[in-house]
Amino acid sequence: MRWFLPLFVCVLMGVATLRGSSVAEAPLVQEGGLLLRHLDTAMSQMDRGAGSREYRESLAFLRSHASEATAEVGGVLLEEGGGFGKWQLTYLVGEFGDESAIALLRLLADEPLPEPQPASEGRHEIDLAYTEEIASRVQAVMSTARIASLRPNLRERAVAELVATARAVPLVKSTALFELHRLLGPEFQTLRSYFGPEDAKHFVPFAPPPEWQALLLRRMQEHRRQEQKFQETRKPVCQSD
Amino acid sequence: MPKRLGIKLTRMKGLLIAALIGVFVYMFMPSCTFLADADDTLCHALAAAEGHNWGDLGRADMMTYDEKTFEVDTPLARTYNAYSNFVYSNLEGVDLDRGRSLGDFEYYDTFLKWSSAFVSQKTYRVNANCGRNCQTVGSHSCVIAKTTTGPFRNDYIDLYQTFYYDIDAVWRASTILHEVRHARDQVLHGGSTGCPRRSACDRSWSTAGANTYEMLWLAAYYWTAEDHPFITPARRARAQALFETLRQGSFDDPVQWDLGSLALINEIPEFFVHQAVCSEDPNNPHRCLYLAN
Repeated sequence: MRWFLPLFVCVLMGVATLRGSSVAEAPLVQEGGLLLRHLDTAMSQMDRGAGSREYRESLAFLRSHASEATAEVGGVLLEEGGGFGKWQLTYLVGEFGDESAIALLRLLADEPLPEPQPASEGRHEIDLAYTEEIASRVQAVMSTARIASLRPNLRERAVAELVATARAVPLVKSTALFELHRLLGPEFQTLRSYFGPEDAKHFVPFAPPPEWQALLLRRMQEHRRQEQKFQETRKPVCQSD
Repeated sequence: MPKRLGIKLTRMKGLLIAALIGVFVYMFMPSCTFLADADDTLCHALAAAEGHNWGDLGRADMMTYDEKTFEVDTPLARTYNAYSNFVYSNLEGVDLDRGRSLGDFEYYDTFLKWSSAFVSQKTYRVNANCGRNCQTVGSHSCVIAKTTTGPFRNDYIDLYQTFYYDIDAVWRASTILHEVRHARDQVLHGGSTGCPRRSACDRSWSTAGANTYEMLWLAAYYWTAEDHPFITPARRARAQALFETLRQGSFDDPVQWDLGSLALINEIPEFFVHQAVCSEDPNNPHRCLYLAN
């Protein structure tokens, strides 16, 4: 009977491998259904990120079918009203990293914002749909930047789109400039000529007053030490998982 | 007659003294110890995070989830996963001592640590309210949560259905911080109805109101290490998007600061906590140079 347990484990692993590969190598006719299933899974698991095996697998599938996945969600992004689901899809489109998404995300960022619904006098009501509409447009800009970092060959196009968006859409100007800064690093300063004096503050790095500099330096060193220590103590736990 | 009157007066005195003692006890009683009922959510949330009282709370209520979406689906669980953002966004997690003075920035040396203690210390009572506090059924304009403040310690936060079922966990967490700023600090909205969030607007960033504090927390959540064990890329992106929705829609005066302005919030939190309360004092330009409108 000693041989039974290893054999059972091997059979289980074999079945799991076959199930895993059946997702990746499914015939094209099933792809529509598969695509939607993986989109569903990616949406429900994205909060957990790479820690979720389901999310990793679905994202890998969607990236390998990026243009179909982008086309699938394109209509929803441009037609649906504001909601958390719309924000989630806008985020995922960036993660797929397809070239066609750059134009789609630009269309979303350009869409005029609806008027917020009037709230009752004195009640602290928030128009959720309106708030989510802003969140989706902001995310559209963030996702464009994400595509640039995922696909270096699309970087130039994404940067041009972000600059154009920053100039044309006041609602997302701040986000577009912030993302450009993150994306380009010191090279960001070369974009200064595209913007007017009212945007000069975006090109001046934030620094606290001089009297805070010593404390800042000490804290930064301390925090990096703490983070390193945390990583070291965390590693053995992760490896044993 | 005088004897009866004397007895009555003695009774009245006794009642008065008892009432005064009651008020005195009420004012100073620690909420976690005496109000450990199901809706004292913060105490339970933190206790649960520290591994206590799970049995009393009902583990099933905490752990049930929707089999299709995999989301936790009870109000209590959704409140807990909002609070878990305060607990686990710090690398110290449950080991962080939230009872120290809020002025101890050598201990609370990131804004996330400080705000976790701020929420813990300045919450008195959190109630689950089953109502959907919207103008009409199906309306998109809803109240997420509401704080009632009073002269003693009877301020409380009501969380409505919208809090549980219309918004995500990161937004729920920032809402809690927002409400706590209303509660103990009693900083109320002072904006006009001219900005998109209308009566939930603050006049300006420098009033250091609930919207400013909420934005500071979202920025701190965003500005954490990229390989943070709790803050996944989607949560970080959500915090960035929510930061911008507040920036665009919850102040009468446009906010000139963006996420980049707050990049050091987890390095020198005391600078941001103090400077956020900037009075636009013309004699102290440095103080207002950076973070006031």
